[in-house]
Amino acid sequence: MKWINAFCLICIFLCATFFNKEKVFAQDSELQQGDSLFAQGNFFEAAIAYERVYFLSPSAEERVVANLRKAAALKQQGEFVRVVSDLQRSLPHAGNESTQIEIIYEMALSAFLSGSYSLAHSLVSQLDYQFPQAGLYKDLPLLKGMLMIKMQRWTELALYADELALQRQPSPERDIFVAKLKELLLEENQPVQRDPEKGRLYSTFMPGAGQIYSGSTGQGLLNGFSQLASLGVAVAMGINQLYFSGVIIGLGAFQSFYFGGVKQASNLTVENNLKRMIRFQQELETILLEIYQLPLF
Amino acid sequence: MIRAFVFVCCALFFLNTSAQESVRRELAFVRHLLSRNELKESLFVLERLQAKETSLIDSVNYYHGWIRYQEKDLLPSAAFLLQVSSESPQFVKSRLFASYNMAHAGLVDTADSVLARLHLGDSPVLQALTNFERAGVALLGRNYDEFSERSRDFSGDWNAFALQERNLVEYALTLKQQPGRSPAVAGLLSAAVPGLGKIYAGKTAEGIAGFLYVGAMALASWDFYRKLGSSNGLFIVSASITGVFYLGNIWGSAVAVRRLRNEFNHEMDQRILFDMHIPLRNIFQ
Repeated sequence: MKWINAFCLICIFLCATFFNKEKVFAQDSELQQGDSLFAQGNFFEAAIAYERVYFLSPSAEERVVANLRKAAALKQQGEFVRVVSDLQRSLPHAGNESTQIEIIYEMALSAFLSGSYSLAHSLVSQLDYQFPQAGLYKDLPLLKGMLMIKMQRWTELALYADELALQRQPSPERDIFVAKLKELLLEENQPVQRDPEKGRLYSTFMPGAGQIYSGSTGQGLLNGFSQLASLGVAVAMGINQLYFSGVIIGLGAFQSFYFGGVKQASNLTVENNLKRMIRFQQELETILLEIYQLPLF
Repeated sequence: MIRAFVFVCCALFFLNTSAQESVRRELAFVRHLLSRNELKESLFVLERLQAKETSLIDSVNYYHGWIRYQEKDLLPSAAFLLQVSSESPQFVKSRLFASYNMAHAGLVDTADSVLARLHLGDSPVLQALTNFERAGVALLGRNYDEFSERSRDFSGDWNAFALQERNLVEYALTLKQQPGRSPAVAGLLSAAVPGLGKIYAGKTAEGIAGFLYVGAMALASWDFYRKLGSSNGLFIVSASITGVFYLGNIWGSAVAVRRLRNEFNHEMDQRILFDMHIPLRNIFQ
């Protein structure tokens, strides 16, 4: 009886001490918890769970794994800038080449997605230089092409299209897409980038001309007409001996339209340049994606 | 039977210790998150902690308050910081920051009463700092008597806030010398000469612009009246616009005085708060 009693009490003691769910800090279970939260779409809590593993784990390898998974959770939340800074801390501890490649690739991708194209480009170059064998890693070839488009490196892109095509099975489709891409990249097909200063200058001497030069003919005509009309009102008032009103109303409106038009011409030139470039880049991106999706050798 | 009771007590003790140990570990994790400036995440972890020991409850409240302070959520921050007990090593810091947060949120009386109840033992620097903060709070409340009483104890001996002490004295002088302009006088001046009220309020450029607008519209109206007569539509429209401009200028001048006074007070408050903040950040890094 005495032994049974002792046994029961030991059981109570052990149960009370070890059945406390908060005590579980085994990093594996935390990783699994993070995975399960990630699978449920709860990326915020998953990122915290992975960071906890990073904080608690004594194993550098496990910390890298947790950090990479956290990066995936952050990407799902659209926090691309944080992905870059978070992964940076794991780079010196990445033991093998494949992990290093994965980290740099994820950093480059996130830098690209956050709009830091020069950082993404330098990371991709680092991959090319340090790990030439990583050329076909995940979507790295696509990322390279997209970066060339965003950074407007047209000559490089035309050469790269050939490289991409060589990695794909020969097909008429492939040749058509490559030819289309190269044709678009010809200098005469590239979007015209007009000079805002010229736009401003044209409108200074010829009302509405700067807007027409920038590509907004309608706005140019409207501005020119407004200036003529206000000048007409001023002259008509002067003829009718309404001198003060002519100066104040007619010339007042004219100077507003005139100076406004000069400023608008410069702004419109910048705006239209950007619009044309975005449209052109979108066209290139679509073709690049078509080539990229063709079956590989 | 007694042995069983002792065992159960031990088990419960270990259960509690283990739970509190996990809270302690989570607090270390919160510190780690804070060092990475992951405020949202730290708050999430903190909100799920169930601390029972006083020291842990204090830490939870302190971190809660500190995160809210970093998020510039000042009143909730003050509420959490005020819950930190006097046994906590963060007690004085919590009280001083809570008071600062309340002063920043405009609750100057409450901020002062928090500082007044703060017992600092015999730390001369903290006593001088509290006196400095109370002087700042008095100045924010435009309580000049209280300020001059507190500023008499400014020694200039503490490098962390010697410059700020001098600044507060300077602000007090500037505030006292603030010109007392009247909105009614500004309105009357603008009624006499359009734009003059704004110049009186200190907005010279706005005053000249107002004069030119009203004057130009009045000239145009006179032109229409002279050539087309008082029943002409152009004159009626132009005269109406002139009237609106004229009345708007009077109203704008009166408002400008109030706006300028508010701008001045706001700027002074920002300067005072800035100078109150620097020593807190310097001393409690």
